[in-house]
Amino acid sequence: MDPVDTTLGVQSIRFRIPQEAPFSYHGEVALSFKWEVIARAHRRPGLDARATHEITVLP
Amino acid sequence: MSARFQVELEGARYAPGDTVRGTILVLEGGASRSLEALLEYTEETEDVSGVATSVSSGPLHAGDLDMGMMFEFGLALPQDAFPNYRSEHGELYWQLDVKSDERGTDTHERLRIEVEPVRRTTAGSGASPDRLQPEQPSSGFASA
Repeated sequence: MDPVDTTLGVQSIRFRIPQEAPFSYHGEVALSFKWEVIARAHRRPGLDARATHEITVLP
Repeated sequence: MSARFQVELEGARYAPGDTVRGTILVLEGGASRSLEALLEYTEETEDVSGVATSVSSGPLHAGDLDMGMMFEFGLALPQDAFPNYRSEHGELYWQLDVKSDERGTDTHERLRIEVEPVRRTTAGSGASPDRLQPEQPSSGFASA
């Protein structure tokens, strides 16, 4: 995906969940699938800034 | 000697809330304490596998099993049952487990069943926004 415009203010982005993507699932034994939207700003030098937001992808 | 079973199902594909009906035919009898049928949602990776949730018929029969005995069962999938899913990381699937509780090792006859996701209608732009459901407010920026 292209970088998001870094001007101040709200940016709107739409993602398409792939048709064959796993659904969100918190496993009991061996397997889990977790989805997050992550906004990440590269900083050179320095640590990246990031914000995460968990989402539920339905089956 | 361990019992042997033949399991036949009325359907091939199921959806959450459906009842899985079928019959168990005893091909070879044997000593048994009890017989039950279970629907099990199984998580499986290359290294580990286990049952995450199960639905039991309760005892279908108590005592030894004789050749020719036949048992009917009906097990309801939960309304919120997850579907089967396979990926490179592992697999989630439903299976029917016919279990004879025996002295020593139990006898199992397992049969996978297909459970499909609930069909949802998508409105709007062609994407699937109804698959997205935010759980919590955004956590804000933090250095990582």
